Amino acid sequence: MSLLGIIFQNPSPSPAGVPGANIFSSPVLLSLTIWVPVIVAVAIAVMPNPRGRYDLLMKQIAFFCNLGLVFVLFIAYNQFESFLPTVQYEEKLAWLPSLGVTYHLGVDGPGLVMLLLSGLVGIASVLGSLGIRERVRAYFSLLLLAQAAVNGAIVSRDMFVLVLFWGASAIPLALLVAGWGGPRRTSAAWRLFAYWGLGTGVLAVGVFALYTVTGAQSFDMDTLLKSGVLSSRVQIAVALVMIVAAATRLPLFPLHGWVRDALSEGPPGTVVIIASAASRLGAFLLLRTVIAGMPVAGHLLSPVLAALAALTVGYAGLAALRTVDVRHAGAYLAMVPGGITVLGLAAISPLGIAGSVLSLFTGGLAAALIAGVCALTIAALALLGVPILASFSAEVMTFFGAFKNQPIGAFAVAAGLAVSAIAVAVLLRRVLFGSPNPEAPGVSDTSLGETWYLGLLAGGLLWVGLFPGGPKIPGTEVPLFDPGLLNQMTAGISDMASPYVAPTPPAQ
Amino acid sequence: MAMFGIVVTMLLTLLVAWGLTRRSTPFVATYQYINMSVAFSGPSNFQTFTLQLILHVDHLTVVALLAIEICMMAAIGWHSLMGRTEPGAARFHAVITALLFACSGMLMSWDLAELFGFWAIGGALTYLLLAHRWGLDEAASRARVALALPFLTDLCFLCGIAWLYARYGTQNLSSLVPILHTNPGWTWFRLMPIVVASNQQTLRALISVTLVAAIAAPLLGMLGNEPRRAVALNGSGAVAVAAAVLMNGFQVQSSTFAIVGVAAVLAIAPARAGGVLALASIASAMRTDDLAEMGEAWRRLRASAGALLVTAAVMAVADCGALAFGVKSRSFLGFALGEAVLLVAVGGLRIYLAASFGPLRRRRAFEPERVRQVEGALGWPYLLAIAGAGFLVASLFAGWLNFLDGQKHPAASVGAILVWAGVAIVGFAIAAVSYVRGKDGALAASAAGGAWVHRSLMVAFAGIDRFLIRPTTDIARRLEDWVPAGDSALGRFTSTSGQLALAAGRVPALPIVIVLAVALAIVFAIVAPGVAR
Repeated sequence: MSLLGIIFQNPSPSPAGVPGANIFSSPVLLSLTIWVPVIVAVAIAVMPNPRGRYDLLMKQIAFFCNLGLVFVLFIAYNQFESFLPTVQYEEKLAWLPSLGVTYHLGVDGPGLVMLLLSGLVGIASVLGSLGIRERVRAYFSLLLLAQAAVNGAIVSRDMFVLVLFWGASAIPLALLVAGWGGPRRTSAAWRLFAYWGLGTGVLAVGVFALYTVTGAQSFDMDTLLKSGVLSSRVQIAVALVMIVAAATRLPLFPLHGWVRDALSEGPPGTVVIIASAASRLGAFLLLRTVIAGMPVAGHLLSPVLAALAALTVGYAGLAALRTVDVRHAGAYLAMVPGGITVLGLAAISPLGIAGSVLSLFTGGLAAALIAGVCALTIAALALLGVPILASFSAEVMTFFGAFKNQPIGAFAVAAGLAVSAIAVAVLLRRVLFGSPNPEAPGVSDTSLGETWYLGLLAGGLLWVGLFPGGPKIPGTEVPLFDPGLLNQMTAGISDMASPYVAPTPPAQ
Repeated sequence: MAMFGIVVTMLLTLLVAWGLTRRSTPFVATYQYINMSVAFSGPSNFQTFTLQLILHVDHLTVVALLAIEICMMAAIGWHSLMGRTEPGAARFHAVITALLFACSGMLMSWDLAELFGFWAIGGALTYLLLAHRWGLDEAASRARVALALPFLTDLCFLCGIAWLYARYGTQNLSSLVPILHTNPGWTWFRLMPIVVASNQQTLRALISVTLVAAIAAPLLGMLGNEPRRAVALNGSGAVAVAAAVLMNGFQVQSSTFAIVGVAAVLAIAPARAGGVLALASIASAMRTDDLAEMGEAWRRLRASAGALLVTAAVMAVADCGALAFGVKSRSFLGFALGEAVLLVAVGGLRIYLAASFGPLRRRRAFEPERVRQVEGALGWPYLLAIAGAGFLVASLFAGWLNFLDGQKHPAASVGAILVWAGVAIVGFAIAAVSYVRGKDGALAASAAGGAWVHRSLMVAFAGIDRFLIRPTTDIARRLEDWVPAGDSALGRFTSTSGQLALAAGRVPALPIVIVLAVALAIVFAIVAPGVAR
């Protein structure tokens, strides 16, 4: 054994720890990710800013707030115990005891993946918003509120709180599109708000139905979904409601009406959040409720999910191929990763579910890149799952997992991906090699801030693509500073996927 | 810099080859890329998912690597002289170097998912190489097809691997070989598990497809006077013959039959690349891409014409060894493949004859007397031609086949080799006679055939566009219109109902209730038994 191996050798029988792990821990770690942005947003909102004198300061505050959050998240990621199937960093306080509502937060592997995505995207969104010149105070306040709401929806373990955060995320994002978007921003914002509002309403109906049916006097996710009292009919009915709610967010065909306008008219920093973390919440909801909590419905409705995935990917490819507007094409193509994630869920196999969790992260980053029509070549490669980038691992796992239970769905999604590939080729050619439009305003390359935000998103894809299990000290299995996203996300997946494991064949 | 990278890679390959002579087992290096536990119960092979990057280098891999490196080296060397005016030199060199990486990865992969990864990188890079000339509309539209079709087949490949995984819970060749009870000596053919896992009917279908390709490709190459397309199609025909022999080897469970197909491909690959480069030199010097406008290359561009002749000969004869080892000339398969070899020979020599002989006519802004060979670019097509010829000669000996896959193979009879070489010679003779008797007539016939093919393709594409692409994209467009219109209507409906509800709130309730009660009473009275009925 090498000297380094001896130095970093892990004496405990538990999985190899990362050097530096357990240095820092906080009982309010998850609350920090929600309430720090809220406090900073309020502070920015009330700060005097005569004639925009402190615009730059506000941008800096928003940036350092996000940087701090990413630091906290990195600690959470680093300390996460990947071998524990239970929820970690749990916080539980009674809020409305008469209704059974608790302020219950916690994350498992998939939740951690989503939080990391949200953190990365948070920084990227601020960097992408450095060009904002009007009403800077309001813009960054709303941006931080949106991030807080998204983080809240990710970590909440109480379904009442989930509905609140879920709905709350729609308001600042719609306002951002309405206030700082392109020429058709008003209709885009209304459309976004209407669809996401519909989703929130439907989700609330589903949650209240669960609350009534179980009679548990609690909105806690574990109580509602793991009570074991849900009959097959109830599971199917509630699962259908959840699918509708998720389809408005992710989005899935045919509830995708907001995508084109919101992603093409919104300001770049906002589009990054909408296309990635905020919309991935749809798939996250499906994973949490339908797949993890309602196995009977998961089994019965998986063909429906596969069909929705195939329709979404195929439609996105065709629509992107058909449109002549480059930003519309980018917006449609941003639907593709969502389809792949849902195919993984429809696979109802442990590997497929793991693939879909990874694709929450990779798809979020790829969608953010392609929706912004920037770093086009990398975005295109990430979208199509070309190796070296993380989306390759996600797609391989999803397809491998899907083939046993959903072969037709997997083939259909593959065909849709081929159409998307053509659309990507057309988009690349138009943007990179097409003749310039003489009537269009002059173009310029990305600014320094935009370059950093693109680099951050592309770097995230590249890092996880190169080291899905984290970098190791050469010659050993000891991880360096990064324990590996793939290792950390497995916590909880086995538990979620346990109802779908194929029976062990009898010994010969 | 790119050339330096390839030279270093080649030196490393030679070092590995030297190392292989000192040991009896292949070199294997493993890196664990993904290893995750996904379930704690159920079949043990589905409880974890492992994707290892396994680099497995045996004799065949080393030889294939050398063949690819020679081709890449020639492409870069030739491009540095002949492609000086092309835009984006740095991009070209970067992409081609990355392509070498992908090809090397493909050849060394031992895990099917890893193989797919390198395969996909190779596909993307090929597309980016084609995109190098995206400024041209025609290049762009062809590049799109060149992306979409291979991407679709790549996804089919992924589905194939996924199917294997879904069934056996592994995609590692070392694990799959014992499960599938296949000959471990065949693992040089990385797609072997997919082929073996399929049934005999699928294998027969594969042989039929390769047979059709073997005949159709050189035939299509002869229809039309575009020289590089003709060489490329001719090469495809020759490769298809080798592939048919290989598939036949799998069907009859003969490792000799299978490896001879690979040995033939090793000879064809550099020859085809050399032919394309030689022709590109000629086309560039004569400033035309039409065989009918070419001529006198033998007098003015002797080196390029010579290289073209050697590559045409190698491509025509390359399959002879494989056919002599693996196919009976009197069988249906032998007859069909003989026809393919004949067509490859005719197609190959016809290009050489058309470019090398006959008058080189003066055209607008073109002076035949100024046609000169670019000296530095000469060596590369020759290098490829010689490499192809070397591989061809080697493929005729059983010792070479033994070396490639490490198994013992019988020697092919000289008579069989001569029979198949005779077919190619007959093809040469047919081409020579027809072009000596009337070059212009032969080329005019080719041009007419090419125009017919072009028209047919246009009709086919128009049909595809009319009946497949346009309806599907129309559906997408209509949906694109319908979805916003639909949800706008829904929004209006909601808004109107809200306004109506508000208005209803202001109306006095009693008269409304009385009116409604009277209306309902009338309706009930009408529909009640005894009134209307």
